[in-house]
Amino acid sequence: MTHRAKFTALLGVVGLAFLTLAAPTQAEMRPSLNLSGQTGLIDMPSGEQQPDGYLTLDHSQFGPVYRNSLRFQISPRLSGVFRYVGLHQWNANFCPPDCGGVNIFDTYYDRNFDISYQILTEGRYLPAVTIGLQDFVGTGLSAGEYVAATKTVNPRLKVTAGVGFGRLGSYNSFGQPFGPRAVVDIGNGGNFNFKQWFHGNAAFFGGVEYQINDKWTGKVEYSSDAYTEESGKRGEFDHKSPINYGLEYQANNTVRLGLYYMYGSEVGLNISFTLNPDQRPQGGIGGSAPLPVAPRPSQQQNPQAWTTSWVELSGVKQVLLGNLALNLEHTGIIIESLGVTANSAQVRFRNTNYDAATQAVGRVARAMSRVMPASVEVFELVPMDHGVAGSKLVMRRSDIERFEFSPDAATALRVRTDVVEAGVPLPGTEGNPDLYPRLTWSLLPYGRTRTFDPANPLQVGIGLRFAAKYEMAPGFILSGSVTDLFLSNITNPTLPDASVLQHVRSDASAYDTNANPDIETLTVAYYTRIAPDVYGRLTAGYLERSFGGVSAEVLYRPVKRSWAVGIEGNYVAQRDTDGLLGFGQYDYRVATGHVSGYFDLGGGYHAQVDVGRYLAGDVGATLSLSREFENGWKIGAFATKTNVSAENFGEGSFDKGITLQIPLSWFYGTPTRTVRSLVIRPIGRDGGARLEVADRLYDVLRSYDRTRLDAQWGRVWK
Amino acid sequence: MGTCVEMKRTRTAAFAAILSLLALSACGTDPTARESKAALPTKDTLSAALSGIFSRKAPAVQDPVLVASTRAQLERLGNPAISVAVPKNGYFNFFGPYGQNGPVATWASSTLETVSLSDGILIATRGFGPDLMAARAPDIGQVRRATGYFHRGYSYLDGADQRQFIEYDCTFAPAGSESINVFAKTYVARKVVETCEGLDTSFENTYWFDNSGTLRQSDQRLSPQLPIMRLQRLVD
Repeated sequence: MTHRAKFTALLGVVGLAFLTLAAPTQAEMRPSLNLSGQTGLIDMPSGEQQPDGYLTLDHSQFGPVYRNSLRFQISPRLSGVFRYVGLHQWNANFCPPDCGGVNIFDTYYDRNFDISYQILTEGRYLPAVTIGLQDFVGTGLSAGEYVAATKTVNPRLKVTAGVGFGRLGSYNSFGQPFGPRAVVDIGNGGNFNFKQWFHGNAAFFGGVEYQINDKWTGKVEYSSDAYTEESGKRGEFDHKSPINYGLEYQANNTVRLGLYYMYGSEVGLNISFTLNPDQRPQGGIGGSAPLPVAPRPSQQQNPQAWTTSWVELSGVKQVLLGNLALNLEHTGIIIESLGVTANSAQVRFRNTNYDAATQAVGRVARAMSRVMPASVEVFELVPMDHGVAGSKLVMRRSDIERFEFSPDAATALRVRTDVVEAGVPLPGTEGNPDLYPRLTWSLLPYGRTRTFDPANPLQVGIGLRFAAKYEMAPGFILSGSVTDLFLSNITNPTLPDASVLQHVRSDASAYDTNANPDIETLTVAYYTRIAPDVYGRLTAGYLERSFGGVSAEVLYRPVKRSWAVGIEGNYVAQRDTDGLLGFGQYDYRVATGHVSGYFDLGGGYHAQVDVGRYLAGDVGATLSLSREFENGWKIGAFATKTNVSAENFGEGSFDKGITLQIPLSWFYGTPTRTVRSLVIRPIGRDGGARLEVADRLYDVLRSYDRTRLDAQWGRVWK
Repeated sequence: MGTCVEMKRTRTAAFAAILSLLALSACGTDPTARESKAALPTKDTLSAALSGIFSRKAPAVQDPVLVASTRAQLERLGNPAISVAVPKNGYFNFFGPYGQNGPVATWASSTLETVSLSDGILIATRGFGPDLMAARAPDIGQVRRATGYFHRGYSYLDGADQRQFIEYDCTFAPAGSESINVFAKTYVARKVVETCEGLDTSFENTYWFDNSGTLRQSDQRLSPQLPIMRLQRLVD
């Protein structure tokens, strides 16, 4: 049977299944992942996408092919994949004797980015259709493009058919519908190979997914990937047949396992983990109940309680401050200052506990309802962070009393709350006498990783980090951290293609191995609100592991707008790799800085543009796009292009990566402000490297933007 | 005013629930501010008196001797008390008065969960995780009459902290009488069943009224994740 005949036969089977299978009513089949971490069949993609916002991690292997993928559903129709591929027995047929070029690797590692867009969602008669680019900025080894259509035939059966190009058009091609595929010089990789897209040989692929029951799914596919390089040229495995078979098991909502028979010769495995960042698994967040609102007595019945003479009493603010603190015990909310008039009170506070600023606002408002004399009708709540006021929420006490138990309490309160510029404290405001100076410290387990080294792709160091913070006055912060790795397999190899730029980042592994213990940071910082909507920061000292110096920033952030602009200037010197306080090893000084624009695009999408001079002295811009979930998850990607040529930049051609901010409250189901940040850079080079200063102004103040307060407003009554 | 402010300083959030069980002298205008320094018990004496009862997720007390002695203690304290159980996660605790806002009374446990009830009808919970944030609920008169319709609305926060409002059409019907055991005390109670139907779900709330007409026990909808909360009125 020829391969084309096989494909036709497969379609026949599909058609038969179409006709004969009954349609039992049950939940819709969930879209599953293929071995490349894309939504798809076994080795082929499909026309489907995952549900909006889903994040999946996938590990697969068959024969010599290992893949680890991270996939994000950027919008309902758009998705992206980052994949790390390992091809074993890469040089077995060549080395020795030919161990030059890529043949030096016995396992060849490659990093891929894919992007796919669903041009048609599934309808009653029309299939879901997705157009995708695979490995579209890589070295091109895995590059392929496709259009795939998937139709749910009945609740148990889905059928996919598609056309592939590049790698996905390499088996049993029917021709070159859009002309030959240009031969591009991949150079250092990392460029968009757009001249190749949808060109060259094209081939059909397809398959079926049949849901046996809620847990088990069977898959059969016809693959259009010939594995020309891996199977044909390098003999890593034997491609005997284009037909792949699979059986998948949905263990629970998160984990899915698959077992496959691939290309007539190999066994394959797949395990995927699916998370929905948008929804905390526990639903509503836990944590202690608030103190209830204490309504005032009516003025008619108890006019004495409504007297305003209390405002004249000496020491009344200190008493009220103390009572507020008692009413906020165990909330992690700390009162910074209190100002009062006969009918209004302004409380400035910091929130050390709640991942949603609005929950802290609601707790303070209720505490005020319990503490403030009856004549105080206007509550001004000013959340503070790093000693500066983020914004001001103005509420009527009678609204808090009236709406506590109304069915739509949150909306009722929001439409009556002003969110305005933070302003200045009321005249005569008194600070919390117990707050400054304030020392906090922590000693926590600490890990460091070095990834994507072909010799050992995942290197890990484990140890401890000690961090301390001493706040002398509002906004005046002395802080530092020291790390020590006890257990580490991180290596510091001499790179064959050492960067011609100053080694501002490419010596990271030298710091990893030499600096133990490592004085990570040791800084003094000052934060202040300079004028309405204008904030300033000055940080000096050992700013990050590799650089020390001075950093100054000014941010203009109109609270009523969905954008902000900032400017930052730094003068820094490169630190010694021993993790101590010297600067002699490199004798490198640089003035670096950026103009930054921040844009809340609505719908949870966020953009940031930074234009300026980077650490190696190169000039350019960074574009960061991210999706910000209401519960604190933030998933994004960035790319930096500077005036460093691709040759001088080295492998990867320009700096790019993926960022994840993961709120631990999502995992715990109880409030905490701790967020884990992760940056995945396929290749860390010296071009386009930005100084890492802790707590830049926009990040510090972001929680108090009107848009973020609105996104989390439901928590105000929690 | 000044003195009252002074007195409020003695309160701690965790204490308030226990203190308010102890019928102390009232101060000023705050219905929950009922402690005074003189009558303040120490944390130790309280925990000794009530050990084993006020622990989070303690299983419902089974031992009849312990149940009886606990009831005796609660009655000796003399303040109103209710018990709250959530069968889904095994939660059980005693609650005392914690606040009053119009018709809605808030009750708290010593581990800082609260339920807010309007004449015994559940309006809100806090501290249970998937809480009932607020509700449009029938008044006790309609429940007692066991007739007619009510369009309920329940407000929740989902895992993205977004407000979800779920509506149900409810009807009431009498369901005879039965004998109920409320923590070592038996009542003959008139039973009323409220049947609610929403878009994809339906549930029942059940109410038991004793001879005096007091709502003695009820099973009420909490949230989709924690479907039922059992409330018992132990000490009036």
